[in-house]
Amino acid sequence: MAEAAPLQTDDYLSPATLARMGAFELRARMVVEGIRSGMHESPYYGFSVEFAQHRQYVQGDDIRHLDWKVFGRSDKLYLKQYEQETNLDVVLLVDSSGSMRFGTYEATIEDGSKRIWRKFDHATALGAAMSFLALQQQDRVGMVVFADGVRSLVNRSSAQGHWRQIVSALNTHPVEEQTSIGRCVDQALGKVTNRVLFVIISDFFDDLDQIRSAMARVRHRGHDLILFQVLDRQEMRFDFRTPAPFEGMELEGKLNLDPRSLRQAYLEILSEHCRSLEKLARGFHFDYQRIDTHDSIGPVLSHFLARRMAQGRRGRG
Amino acid sequence: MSFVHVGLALAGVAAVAIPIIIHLLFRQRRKPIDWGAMRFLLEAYRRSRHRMRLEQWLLLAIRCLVLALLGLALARPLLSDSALPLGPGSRVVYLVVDNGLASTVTDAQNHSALERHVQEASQIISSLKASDRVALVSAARPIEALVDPPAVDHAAVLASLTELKASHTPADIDAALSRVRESISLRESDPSPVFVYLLSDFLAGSVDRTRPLTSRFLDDKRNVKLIASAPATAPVANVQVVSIDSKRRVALAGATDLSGQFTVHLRRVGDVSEEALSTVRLNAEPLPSPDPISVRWARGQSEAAVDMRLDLRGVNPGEVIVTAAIDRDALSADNARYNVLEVRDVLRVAVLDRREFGRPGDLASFPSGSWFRRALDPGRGSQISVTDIDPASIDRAAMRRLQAAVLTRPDLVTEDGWRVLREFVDGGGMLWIEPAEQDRVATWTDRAAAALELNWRWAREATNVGEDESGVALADEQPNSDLLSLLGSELTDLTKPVRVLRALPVEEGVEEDSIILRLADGTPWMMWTTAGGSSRGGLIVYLASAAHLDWTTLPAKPFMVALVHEVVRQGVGHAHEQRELSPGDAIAGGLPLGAASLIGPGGSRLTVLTRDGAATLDRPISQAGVYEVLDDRSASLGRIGVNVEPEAGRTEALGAAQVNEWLDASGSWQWLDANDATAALAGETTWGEISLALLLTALALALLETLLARWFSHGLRRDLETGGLDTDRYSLTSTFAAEGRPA
Repeated sequence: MAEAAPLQTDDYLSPATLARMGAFELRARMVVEGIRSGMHESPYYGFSVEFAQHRQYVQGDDIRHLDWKVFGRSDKLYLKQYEQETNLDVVLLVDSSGSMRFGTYEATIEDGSKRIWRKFDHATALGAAMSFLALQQQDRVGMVVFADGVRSLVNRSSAQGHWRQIVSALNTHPVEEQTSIGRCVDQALGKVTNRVLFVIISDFFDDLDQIRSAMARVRHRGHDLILFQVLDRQEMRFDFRTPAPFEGMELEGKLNLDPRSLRQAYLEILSEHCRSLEKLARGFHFDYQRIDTHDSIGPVLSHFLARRMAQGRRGRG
Repeated sequence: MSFVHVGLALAGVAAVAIPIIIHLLFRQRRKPIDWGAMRFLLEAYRRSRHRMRLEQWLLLAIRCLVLALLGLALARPLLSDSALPLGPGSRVVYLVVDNGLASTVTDAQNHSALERHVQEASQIISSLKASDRVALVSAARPIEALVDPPAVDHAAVLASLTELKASHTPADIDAALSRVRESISLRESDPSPVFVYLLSDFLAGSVDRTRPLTSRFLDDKRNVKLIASAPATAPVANVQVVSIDSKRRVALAGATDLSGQFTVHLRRVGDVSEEALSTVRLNAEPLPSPDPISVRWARGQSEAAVDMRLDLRGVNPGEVIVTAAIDRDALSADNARYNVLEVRDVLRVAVLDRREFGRPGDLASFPSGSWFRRALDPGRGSQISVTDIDPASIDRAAMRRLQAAVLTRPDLVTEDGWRVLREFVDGGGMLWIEPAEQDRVATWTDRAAAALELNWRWAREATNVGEDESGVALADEQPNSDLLSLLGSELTDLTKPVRVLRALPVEEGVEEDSIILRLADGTPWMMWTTAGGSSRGGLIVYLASAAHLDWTTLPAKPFMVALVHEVVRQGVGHAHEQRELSPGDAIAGGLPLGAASLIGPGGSRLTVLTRDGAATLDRPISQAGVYEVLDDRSASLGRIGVNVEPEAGRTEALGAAQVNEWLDASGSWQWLDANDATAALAGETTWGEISLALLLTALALALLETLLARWFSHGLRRDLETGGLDTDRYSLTSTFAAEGRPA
């Protein structure tokens, strides 16, 4: 029997690999392992770090941290130094509503059977990875699993072993309930007093007005927000060929239709929803990232964090 | 509407349910798809609901319709014209109207059958659509295609119909139907249904049951419907003047013999079950008319003959029109008959013999020509003028003045002489030929047969007749030849003393009814024929023995004078008799030479045309009566009588069974509805064209369904817009790839 090839960085975080992990904790560790492997290749700059001071360059320092603007003005080499914001907490809000049960990525697991990789699977893997990264830099991390309301809550902490609590909270299943982001955000805001970075991982199949209100309240309290919109590829393509009944996963009912005749209208509406959501987030200076469940989590996450870092620098430079 | 295959029609209707059943079955069996983004799908559905519902209903209707049409097409529907949504298509209607003599039979209201048929035909034309085409054929002989090819100008057809006149000829239904059949076959590619109407009472005068119909519509690939008017059921009583026979075909002025005696033959046809009375009148202006004679018809009696006599004393030479007429009855055209009696002051006869100068010897050496001269002109008061012409120099101009010629020396006639004799015969002259008394081996017979186009083959050598010198007597029972009919019972007494010693017989080609005299051993001794076998022209009479006592004792017997006079006078009249014509005749064979035109009773003029040596009329004679014959200078050449054919006026009702049997040879006929002549037109059209139309419609709808289904599912629109399927056109994955994902 041929020996399986060793996993590459992307493999750790690909749906095909993660879907094979039966236990959620194993899956979470796989995500962490993937991120660790990725850090070796691409140094982590952190998403909750802020500029602290300059110090003079000494031989052996990484020239990437040189402040070229200071060099241009004073002809001296200084390094930019960052420090962790110890008062910045991260609260992950993971959507477990009925629509998150949807998935079309089909992975083959060890026993040869098929397993569907759902949007919720993608969201929890992403949540585990995010919490791990935050805990790595000593941030306090809290977790909220919500649907129509808060289903489970993990208080913020940076203690050792907290990640296991978070993973344990994520190890659940979606319910047949609708998404109510506004209510969930309100409940989360009620529990924080200091400045918090909220990370919402959801398909955002909710009313845009409610989402706008929630964003406005988050901004009003001075918090930051990152929106990860998790969508299945089939939801974005809708290329069914044969007529079939479609049944809503949030108790919307059943609809018999020829999907070909509705494809254009559906995609227009979904696309308009997503564009509006993105525009809304940009309007509040929040970060927005759409994620396809058929893609690996790692590259998307790395790219997003790098972009966020670059934006942070520009904002302070 | 009916169907050839009703089961298939029902299956077609039931097939409408197939798309619905398929839809319902698949709807039940399809596994629901759990869909996360249902709110967007519902919103899309709400926006497109009305359009989608319309599209789905439209597609369902088309699919059902396609199946229904296929089923109906296979069921071969028989649609009535009125059931067609856009009205009937173009139809072709042939109207064959019997305007023959029998169609002039009038009913109690004095309406003729033709008037009734014209009315029916008018009703049929009036019921037609503007796109329908009509042809009109008159069935009286000769048939005439008044409107053909079929025309959409119904007014013109109606005009032709109303102008249609009854003819005095019999109907020739077979020829009329053949014309229709030919016209139909010329338009085989025309898919229009064809209706053939035959409008006739089918009286015996219109139906020649001895001739089966030859025009067959049975093998016609076209949809031809045959409709005939119902045959008359009741016979109509009708008396006809069948013939008017004169004893002498040529009368001599002032003659007191039988020249003025006529026999009028009557026939009663149709209903003969009752006693009846007919009055026969004979008229011959300017001669005084004899008293009318009444004929009392007994029950079942169908034939009668009346002898009537005209007083020819004081009549001038020329032609006398003798008319025999009866009272008016159901059919008037056959109530009169016309005969032209030629009256001459003298008959001019030439003896074509070489005169021997010097006194003849004894009686035994008396030459043949001399015998004939004496027989023709036996004494004072004879009205036969005899002239001599040498057979070696027959003069064409001299021959023109003659009515008869006796050729006793055929051996002397030259080639040119035979040609002149042929012209003489063709011009109506009577030629008597006998062997030359000098003949041993006859060499002239070949020239004679060639010039006169005779079918006879003479013996090459004259031979003695009988076993001894007494020869052979004439047969006791002689053929009943018209030429000797006036001799009657005296013929036997006259022929008994005659002995025939020698003869040059005709060995082949003599027809039985042309034998005038026969020897006791049965050998034809005297016979007649015509030049070229034609009915036109004069007679050729051949006596197989020369009028010489070495050949026969005839010249010395009383029978000689009687024989010569009867044969010459009746023979001369033969040509005159041939001049009688009948309505429908177009061949002017019976007209005198030089005839250029005919003037009919109503002043109508018919022109004589000569084509390839045959004289024809520019159009057939349509009416009976007396016609004047004119030459090319409009000078009169005489008059002729045109009499209806008695068979055309037979008014017996044949009945539906016999007519149907007769018509059946041409196809399957149905009777015209007497109350509604147009009923058959509202009948059924063919399945073929409707089925084809249904199939084509189903095909077109199937194609439409395919296009619409693709269009409604936007497949076609995408093809049109992008030139190929672009599944990512509305997809967000492309947006995502462009914006969020690293390369």
